[in-house]
Amino acid sequence: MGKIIFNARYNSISKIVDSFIENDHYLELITDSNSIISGPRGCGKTTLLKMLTPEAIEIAKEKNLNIQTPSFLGIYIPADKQWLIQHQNIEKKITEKEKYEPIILSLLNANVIIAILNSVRQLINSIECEKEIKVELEFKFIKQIKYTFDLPNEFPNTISSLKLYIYKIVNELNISINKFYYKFISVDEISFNFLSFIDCSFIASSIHDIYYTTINNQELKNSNSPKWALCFDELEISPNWLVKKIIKINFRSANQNLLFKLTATPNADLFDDERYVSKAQIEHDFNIIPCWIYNPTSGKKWKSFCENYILKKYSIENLEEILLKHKFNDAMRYSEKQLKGVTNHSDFREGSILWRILKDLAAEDNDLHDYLVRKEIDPENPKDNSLTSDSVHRKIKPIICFRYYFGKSRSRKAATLLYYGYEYFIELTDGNPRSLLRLANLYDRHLKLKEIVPLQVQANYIYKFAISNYNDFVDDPLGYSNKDYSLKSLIDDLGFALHNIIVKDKFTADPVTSFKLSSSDPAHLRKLVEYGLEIGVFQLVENISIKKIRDITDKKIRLSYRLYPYFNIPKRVYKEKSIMKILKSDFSKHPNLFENGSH
Amino acid sequence: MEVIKVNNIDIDELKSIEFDLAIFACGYEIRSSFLFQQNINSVEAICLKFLNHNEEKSFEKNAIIYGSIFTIEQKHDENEQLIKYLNNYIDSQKTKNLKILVDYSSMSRLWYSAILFYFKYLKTDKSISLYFSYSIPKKPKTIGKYKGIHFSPIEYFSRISIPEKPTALIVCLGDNAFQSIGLQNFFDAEKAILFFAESKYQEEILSLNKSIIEKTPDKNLFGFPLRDTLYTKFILEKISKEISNDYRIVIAPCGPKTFTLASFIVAMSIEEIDIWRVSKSSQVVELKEPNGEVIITSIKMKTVTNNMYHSIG
Repeated sequence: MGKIIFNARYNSISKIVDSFIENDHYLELITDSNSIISGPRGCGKTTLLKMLTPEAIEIAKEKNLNIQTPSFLGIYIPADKQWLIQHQNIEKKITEKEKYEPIILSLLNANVIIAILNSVRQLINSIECEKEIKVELEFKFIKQIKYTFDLPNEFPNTISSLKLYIYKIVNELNISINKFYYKFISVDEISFNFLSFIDCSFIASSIHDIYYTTINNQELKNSNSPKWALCFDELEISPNWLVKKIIKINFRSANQNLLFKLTATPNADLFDDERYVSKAQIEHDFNIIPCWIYNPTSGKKWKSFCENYILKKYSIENLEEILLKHKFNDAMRYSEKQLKGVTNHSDFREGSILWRILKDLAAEDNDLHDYLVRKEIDPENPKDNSLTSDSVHRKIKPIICFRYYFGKSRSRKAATLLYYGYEYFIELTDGNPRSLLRLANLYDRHLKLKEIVPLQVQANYIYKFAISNYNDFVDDPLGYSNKDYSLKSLIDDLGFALHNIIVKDKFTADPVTSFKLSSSDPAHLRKLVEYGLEIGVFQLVENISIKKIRDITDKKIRLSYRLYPYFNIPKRVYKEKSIMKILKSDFSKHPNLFENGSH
Repeated sequence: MEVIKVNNIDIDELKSIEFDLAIFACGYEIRSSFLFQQNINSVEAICLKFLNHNEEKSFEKNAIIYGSIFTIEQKHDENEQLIKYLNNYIDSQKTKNLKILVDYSSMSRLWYSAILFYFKYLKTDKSISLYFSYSIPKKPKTIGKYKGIHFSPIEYFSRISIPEKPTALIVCLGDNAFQSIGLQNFFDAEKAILFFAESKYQEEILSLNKSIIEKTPDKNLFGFPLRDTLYTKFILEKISKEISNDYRIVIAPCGPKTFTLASFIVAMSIEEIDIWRVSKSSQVVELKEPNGEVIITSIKMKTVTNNMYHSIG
């Protein structure tokens, strides 16, 4: 599958361990507490969870990797969209809550048991003893599970047989649901089973006890019985009531044997009771780990992660030497070689290229002209000085360069070099390891040779990177619905609107580059933004506090930097504006966007 | 009930059979009444009528052709009335061997899948022979001109699976390349297996779907004969059995309806297969005229008490 460069879901644990770079998110995750890892698609949540599994810990130890290991063992419990939509389908047909909830719970429990059995198999395999003892251990373990959960004795006492039995139960459930669909049985006759009415933590905790009691009885190990962390991957896509139920039941009461590690999207609505949330937080019942860039500190952590990745993969200690420092001055000098009369090569010094561009723009743009006058800069000789260098010239530099290329009556000239350099390499990947791998893959040949990558080549790679991100986002089938305003429409409208605000509209030194939703915005638009946050089209420009995680109204949101080169938007966060005000002119084309009424 | 035998038959053979029941569809597609006009011999006949697009002239014309036969009006994604009808019909039949004709040419996928799966879950000592007929349309005019898809699992068919194994996606390539790419992304499928109908439009379809084909190993690209549902079913079943131990299989039929039918037949015998319906996100009205050729697949079903499933454990 060529498009996906790295997807931890299907990569072997060994491959994940080999490419793993320990970061702060991981260190927070291995603390002895319940955790919620929050972030968009591709931010590394699956990798983090898989690093907690017994197999990953074992491999890390075997390879002597300098990775801290947790005091608990992670049980990786997968989920995916296919699973979610299958659940939704049942909820459509079996509408009574008390009828469908046990069905969904039994499916969740089946998933948990299968995941635990897979982990136990790994644990037994890793015990250093004779094969016969392992077989005996497995036999006793399964026998005790059968006894505890009152399972029939019709299958052998092996992990594989118990798994087959669980699959059989799920199959019977499917058959019974289908019989109900075709009116051959009533809803009350749907075949429920031992999994339907038990909480998954009871099942997990019981199996934990059974396993370590069996081990101890075999006198194979000391009384050491580490906690198990149930690592629910992609739980955010499961039915909302189910996620809330898991959190409500399990985060409140401390379980001696278990921890819970869940993934969530930045805008996930996870809590029923805000009062509980703050109380629980104070008591350190759980930690929330935001995996995206929301402030300068998280940006620095991302930079450090990228540098470590490049060091580990390419043995490059100073990436800036290879990719060069980004300078608008250098970019303009390279691409505007034809401009005559450039005599100085420092930013905005008289005779420099940036000075020349600013002067030319001010001559034809009254707003820019007036702005410079207000800042006591001569529009006919807009050189910088110690007073204006930081407060004015540095601030407007990106805007000036973009307006020069894309402003009124101008069209994009042959491949501009506005995007290149070390900082852009790091920041355009926007806290997303999958994107980092994708971009590094484009640079791969140069990085392997440790050679300086020319500006033009970098600009081309970055443009390719942006196009592939754009295509991924707009091709996402869940971004479409029966309304003609799709996620693609929103991305296009927003991208072009922001581009126009910066380069074509009235000049301002503080243009709009981000947006906010209000409670009166159309529900469909909100859904698109929420889905965009989930898959990484948008980024929240602030950290989540527990209360904020519930609702994205009035939160500052921007397009992912991954799309900036596609829409030619300068990579800086300026001020925000209501999304409706940014988009209003484009909405007239999509009247049915408002059919659902307000949110 | 289980599928005992699947066969291809021709239109002459079809015309020689005396059916107990014939189920037709009435919609805006011109071909929807084509078979009805071919001297079909049936004791009872009903017509499933779409509730939408009935303002189209071709729809009105089809309704006139069907005249006064018993009609069930339902939405394309609803089956309640049809299921109720089938229950009453089966209960009232004394014949041991029922022959039922289903002209699925213009039926929604949910309608004809419901008919098939109804019989799968029916418990009866009767033997049922279903004859699925499909009128081949002339080439659609909108080939590849739309973007945006909508898809979901087939309603009235629960196949919830435990997400332990990765997904293998089996796609029949259609005239909207966006569908197959979207599906591939959505399922994050580890393995993609592509099918295409061997027909005079084959090169056009392959060219439209170039981007997904380029990403798929050649060994996972299969052609199937449009007119041979039996062979299509055979090859689909063979592949599904080969990979079902390692993957959760999702079949997404975007191409001709004969492939969709073959998928349903396979899913009736392999419990692990899930089938998703894929459609264009915005309704494209294509009047689809019949080219005169009909593909017929007969499926014989019987209740089998000692099947493999019941012996598990």
